[in-house]
Amino acid sequence: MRIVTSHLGLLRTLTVEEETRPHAKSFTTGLTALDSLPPRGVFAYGAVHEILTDPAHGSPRFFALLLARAAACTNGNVIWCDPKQELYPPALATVGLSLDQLYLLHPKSPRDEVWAIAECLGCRGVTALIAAPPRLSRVEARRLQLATERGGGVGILLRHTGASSTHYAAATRWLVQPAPGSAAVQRWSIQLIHGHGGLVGKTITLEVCRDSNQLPDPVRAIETMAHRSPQTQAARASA
Amino acid sequence: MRLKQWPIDRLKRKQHEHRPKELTNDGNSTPHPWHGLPAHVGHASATKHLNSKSSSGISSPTRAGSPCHNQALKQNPQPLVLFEIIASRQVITCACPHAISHGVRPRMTLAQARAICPNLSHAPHQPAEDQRALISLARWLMRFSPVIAPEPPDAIFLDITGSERLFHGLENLLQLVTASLARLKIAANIAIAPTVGAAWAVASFRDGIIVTPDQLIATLSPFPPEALRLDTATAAILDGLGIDTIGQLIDLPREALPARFGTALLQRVDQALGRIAEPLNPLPHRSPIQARMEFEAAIDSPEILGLALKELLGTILTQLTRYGCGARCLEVEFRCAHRPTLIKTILLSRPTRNANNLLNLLRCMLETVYSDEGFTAIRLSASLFERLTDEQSTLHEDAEHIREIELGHLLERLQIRLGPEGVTRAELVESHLPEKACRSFDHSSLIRHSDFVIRHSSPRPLHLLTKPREVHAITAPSHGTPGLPLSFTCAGSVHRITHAIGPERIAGIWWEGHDKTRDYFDAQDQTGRRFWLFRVPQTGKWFMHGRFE
Repeated sequence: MRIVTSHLGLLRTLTVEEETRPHAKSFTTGLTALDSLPPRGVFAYGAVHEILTDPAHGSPRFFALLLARAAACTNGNVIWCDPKQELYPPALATVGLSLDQLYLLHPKSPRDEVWAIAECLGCRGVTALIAAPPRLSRVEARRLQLATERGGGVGILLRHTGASSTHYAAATRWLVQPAPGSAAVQRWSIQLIHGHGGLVGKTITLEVCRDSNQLPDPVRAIETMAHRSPQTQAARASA
Repeated sequence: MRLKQWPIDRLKRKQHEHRPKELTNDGNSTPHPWHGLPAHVGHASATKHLNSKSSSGISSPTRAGSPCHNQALKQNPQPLVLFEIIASRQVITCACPHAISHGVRPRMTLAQARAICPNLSHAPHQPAEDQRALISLARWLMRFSPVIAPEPPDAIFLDITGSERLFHGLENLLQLVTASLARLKIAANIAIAPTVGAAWAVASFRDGIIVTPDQLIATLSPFPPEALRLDTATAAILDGLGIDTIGQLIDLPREALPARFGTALLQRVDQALGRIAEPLNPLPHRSPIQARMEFEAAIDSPEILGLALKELLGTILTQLTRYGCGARCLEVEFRCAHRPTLIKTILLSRPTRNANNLLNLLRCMLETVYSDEGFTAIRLSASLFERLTDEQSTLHEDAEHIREIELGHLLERLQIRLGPEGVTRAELVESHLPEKACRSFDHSSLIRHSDFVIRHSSPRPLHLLTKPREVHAITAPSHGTPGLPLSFTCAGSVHRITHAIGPERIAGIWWEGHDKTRDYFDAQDQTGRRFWLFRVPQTGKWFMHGRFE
């Protein structure tokens, strides 16, 4: 798509993807099947990516960490908002995120938490933020997205499906469900449920080797048949 | 005041560290002839030259040396010497009286001294440290006079013009100074004299003397010419000429002196006798950086408080700019009419005098301040400030640097709103116990790099409960030891385990009890969720400790 503009009597042709996006930077996870899902095959900086999951399935921290690690590379700063202090940093270290890059936030109230998330997302020094915010209002969700555009980092929000995640302003939304694994492999099925220009509705399987700490070798993303289980459709409908 | 054994006093104080805030000054005692005088062989003698320019100004040396000395001796009976290395020889520069009583003298080598005195303890001489400590002591002495001039290596001048009225007379002042120095275990000779030179001269040889202007010449006359701060060459010539006292020197024809000795000698004589002025070079006075505002009526509106803080901040920033410093710590006091004063502290990760940034921090802080009856006054003070070099990062467009600064500012804001434990960093600790394998620390403290690589025999979960939750588990039948878990019930839902890896035994700390050993299992249920369960062998109870998710 192109836009022709005239400014001071000069005609210019702008390519929408290149010129009108303030943060054209992007990152990839290195997992081909996963990278093929989001718009243009890349994850955008300066955008919020939401990861939805059923409340009964916990919160998919591993997938969030995978994205944050890819976004932060080796020198970016990652902030993890962890109100209940249940994140276990040594596990992060073994998965390949250096603890020198990591800051932990422990807000005491939901109000403080949303404020802190917006502050972090609006800061240029933060490359990635992982948080599980409580219910967001339409204005708050939009504010987070605007803050992220200003800061240029990546906001990764872990949210539960259902009424609490009806308001969103995210570049991509993902539905993550645990999938039956084997003795050596833990699996998640990951589906892109929102993202303009992405392969919405397609599901892949993410595999991680259970008895090894080494990454990224044991992490694999496998394309599976696109399927719409009733549960998925319900999640989309509610979202 | 002359601190004659300053290096030794400083070292002993450093070793004892009774009162860290009362630093002592250290001066080199080497070039001074105090050790030649039996009266001053005392442990440390500091001479205080109180220079008062008024006509009533007096110079008298006070000797605070002996009490400190005795006390120090009791505490530290081992003889102590300081040495410096000259051409690969360890030459003693300073010896404590105890060592001198054993026959140790400066300019001996350390080996000689140890031959004389076998239990001699020794330490390297650090003139730079001594000088730093001397300046701190001078600052501490500002309680007696606003004009203090440290004169390295071992003298401090106090201009006490006017102070004697505050302290009810020179004798009282002298006693106070002497007593405080004795408390600090600093041996000093203290003298009060009308001129700087006279005070120095008297304090070099006597202690606790107050010289009145009319006694000046009479008091100085018996002292040797070295007391006039002469260089060693001039002093040696005078000695060769048989001029042993200042009195003899004064009696010499004045016109003949410059031709033989240069103008320096005559200048020193004139300075001591007050014929020419000798200005002191006092320490700059540092007043606390603060500003306060009182309200006519109690105010509780955050907007108005914010405006007041903005005003106060402007005042403080002006003062900081004058000092060339940036604030590291801001303290805000909110005074209430009927309640205790509320004090909020803002710690900054780096010195700053950026008005916008500080104002943002103050606004964040205001949200945590509440009083239903309002505040009657606000006081803002920079309790900690450091020298600030002007930043020119925008000139280089150094994006990395800008990001670092922004992150620092962000963390400060977060910390103010979320509290000091709201923002932390984590580091690995070498421990087998999962909950002790990492430690959180304040984000502003220095980054400590854990140099060991974490090597667990099995992976650790990203989600770890702070307190393991007890679950009911059914295990596979086996001989002797219980087998793998088959299913467990947690929060009312039953998880049927399809794959379990384990056990990984983690032994507890024996002194914390006998039931701390844990057998961990990495269990996956039928839906694909993965749990970290453990069983306590002694009790047979099952717990869930975390989730791989």
